[in-house]
Amino acid sequence: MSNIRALLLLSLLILALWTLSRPWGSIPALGALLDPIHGIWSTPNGTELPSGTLELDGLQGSVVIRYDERGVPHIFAEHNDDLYFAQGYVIARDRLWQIDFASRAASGRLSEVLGERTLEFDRYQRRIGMVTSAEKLAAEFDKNDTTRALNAAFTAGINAWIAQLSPADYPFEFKLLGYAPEPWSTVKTALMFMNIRQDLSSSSSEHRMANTRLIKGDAFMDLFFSNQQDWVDPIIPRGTSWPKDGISIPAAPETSFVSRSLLGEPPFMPNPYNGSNNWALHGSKTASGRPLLANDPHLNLTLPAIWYEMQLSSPDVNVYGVGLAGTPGVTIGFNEHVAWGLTNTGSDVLDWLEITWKDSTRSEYLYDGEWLNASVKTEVIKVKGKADVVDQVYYTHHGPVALYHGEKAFNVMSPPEHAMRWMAHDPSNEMLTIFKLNRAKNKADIMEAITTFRAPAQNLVYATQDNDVGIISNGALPVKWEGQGKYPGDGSDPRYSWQSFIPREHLPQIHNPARGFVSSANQHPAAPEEYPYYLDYAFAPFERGMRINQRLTTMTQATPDSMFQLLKDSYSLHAELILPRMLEGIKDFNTDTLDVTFHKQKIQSWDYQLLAGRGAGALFQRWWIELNNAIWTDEYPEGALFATPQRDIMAKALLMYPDGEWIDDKNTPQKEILDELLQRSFVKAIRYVEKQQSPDPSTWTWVKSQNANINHLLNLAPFNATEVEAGGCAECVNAFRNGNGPSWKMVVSLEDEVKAWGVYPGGQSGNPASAYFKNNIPTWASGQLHELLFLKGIEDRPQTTVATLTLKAKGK
Amino acid sequence: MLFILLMVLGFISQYLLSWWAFPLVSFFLALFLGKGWIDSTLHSFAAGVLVWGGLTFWSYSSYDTTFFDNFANLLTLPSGLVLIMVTALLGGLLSGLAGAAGFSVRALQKK
Repeated sequence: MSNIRALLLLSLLILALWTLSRPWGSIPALGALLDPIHGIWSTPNGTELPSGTLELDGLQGSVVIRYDERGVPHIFAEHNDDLYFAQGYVIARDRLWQIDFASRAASGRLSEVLGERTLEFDRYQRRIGMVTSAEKLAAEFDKNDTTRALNAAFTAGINAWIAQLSPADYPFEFKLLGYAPEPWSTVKTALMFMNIRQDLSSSSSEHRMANTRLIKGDAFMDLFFSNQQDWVDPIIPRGTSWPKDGISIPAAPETSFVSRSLLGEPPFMPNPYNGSNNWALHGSKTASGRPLLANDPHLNLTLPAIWYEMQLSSPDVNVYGVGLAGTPGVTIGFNEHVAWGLTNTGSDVLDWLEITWKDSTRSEYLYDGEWLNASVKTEVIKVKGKADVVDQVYYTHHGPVALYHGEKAFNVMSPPEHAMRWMAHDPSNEMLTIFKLNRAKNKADIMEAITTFRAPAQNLVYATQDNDVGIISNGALPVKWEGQGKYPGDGSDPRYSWQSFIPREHLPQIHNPARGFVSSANQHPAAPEEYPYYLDYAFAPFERGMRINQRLTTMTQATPDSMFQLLKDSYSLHAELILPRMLEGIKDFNTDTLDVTFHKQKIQSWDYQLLAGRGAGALFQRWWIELNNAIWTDEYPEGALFATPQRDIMAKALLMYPDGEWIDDKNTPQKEILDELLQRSFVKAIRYVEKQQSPDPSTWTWVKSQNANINHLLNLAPFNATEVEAGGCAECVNAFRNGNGPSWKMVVSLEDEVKAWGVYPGGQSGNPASAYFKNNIPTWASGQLHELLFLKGIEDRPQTTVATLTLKAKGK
Repeated sequence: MLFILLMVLGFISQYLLSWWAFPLVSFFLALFLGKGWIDSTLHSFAAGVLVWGGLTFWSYSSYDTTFFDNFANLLTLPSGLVLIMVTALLGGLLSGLAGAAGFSVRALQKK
């Protein structure tokens, strides 16, 4: 009896220990997680700013780090190596889990810690060659003495922080997911660069474009998907003269290629659009007589934020700004002489090329009449709680093949058996550009610094104390025949390959233009009918760029405050353009089932401002979506795959061709006219917002329809910021929508003593228990910017910082 | 006496090792020093509740409680205080079970 009892109790104990020591589905291992000493209960430890003196291996001298009241480190070092060591150290201290997670995402290693649910994501990351390219990128950094030393110091700094951690000190998310940080490496830093290359240059609609063309024909494509848009105000103004000599554009194929694998593939969703604004005013337009520069890159807004704010100072540099977390230096910022900002160029640098395999082994493929060998890389994907998954990735000389016949596409943009020719696969030394930009003193330094930056191509705007302002679409842009890459190409035909890149001196650029300012908002870099090279068939819709240029044109005696106002501008030029026509269509409309009078009046008196409280804005935005659905869903086979015309082209088409054949609903016997669709969609929109918000339209707001959320990277609901009342819309200068928007707002006044303001929606610390986790969100949402503390030296204004940490070389 | 030993050794070993060290201490203390079922099981349970509950309450009250409340919500619990109770109960049950198992083995040897 007692034997059985002992056996039973022992078994129970072992079972309990075993149960608590392992994860169950999405439930983490509870024993370690709830451990009062090492588990989540120790998360708030160390959330206060650090101070005192620490001795560390790997330093040459001492480094002083002064933290200001927002937790921004101001780092003062005697040597550059120590500077980047300390930068790595403070970033790791604040953001270790974030950079670990982001580098895992880039390399397709999420399933190792998240389990099966991210398996297809991981497989896709490996299929598109993210790690292969990161390794090439790291090797490229190491070829240059400066960036090799910088990269090594930065990596050593991160590892110095990791080395002194005990499991109780691991950031919260490591404990939640039950894994430990691993040492940082130069390849991981390169993976962070690959992340931004992917984020900014991997959007591709070739596959769905080809399907749309199959159904609707070329004339339709030319109307809705063409870059001949005379209403666009390009980055480089019309009428600029371009070089005529030394330009050779490869010949286009006579007939257009149609991939064998189109149609019958999974449906498409439009990709979200990453956009950004930047501009610089010449001193002739400012109150100070010196340039003003502004920038707000629009990216996915997450907690922790993609940016880390800091000041870096050594004998040869004093720079302030933000860096991509997990990369060295300051990516967007200013120093004592110059300021610079970035927007994405968005030119087409990803082409899908259909591969003709010799047989099903995918070992040889046809190119220019010959059979070439493909190489194969075996990828082993570790999956938490499951067996490893082995995958083969086939590389052609164009690039890797992302999807095979019969597979369900993880990313709908990839057609099967097509290789990707993608600029993000080509190594270049962006790190050297950042290093040199941080030290630039004038325009010449800036132009020299950016020569090694090739991907992702960026519209770089700069302003200097010498009153130079300018903008250049900088990066490697392939020379293409008109329309090359608009549809998937023939991978066996060399005419679909890239032959060369646009020479640097021919890149779209303008310096100190007569109009006194430069700007960009991801629109066409140059007017397609004037610029000698083909860049892409589509860029961002024209509204943001037009709005910025309209306001900058009328500005005189501009002040930093004028810049703040423009950055928070939530005016919809799109609504101004199309809403009068939409209202015309419902002028006499009434229905028994719904009282539309209130809504009509509300939307008629709306001022086109997408401010958080504007209920009319919510109705207009939904009405536009419902109208587009009404027009397009009957045009294609059900559940199929088509490209949606861009917002501004659609608006122009409604005004110019109100009787277009696409208006009629082909699912009904009678013929519909535009006004009928407007009325139907108006009712649908009202019903939609009623359901989404409340049956009482007087309580409607824009923020409730806007998806105005800034989510934790793991989307842990209690740690997300929801209904952030910042206003904004996709077509607004303040482009906050769907959790995407101004990820760092910066204004710099290039006076004798440089002044600057900035804010990003998050906080310096990645620890959700820290007071610095999301402390900047209220300021950001209100449209204000913090005045940035740009210290001249270690001793400057001691009362402005609240904690000082000194790092010293061990034993010195 | 056993009760004090349980708390002190349990805390130290858990501090040095991990969460599973506490029930192991309860098991061995009951195995070598256990005087009876009540002594081993209830005292182990109470020591577990006090140490785990005390430590977590100390963490909770030392900082801004928002984080713990949010974390409790993540586990679909209403508040950080409920999470403390759950943690304390977990520590108690583990320790109590280990104590009972330890004494049941001791009871075999006594025969």
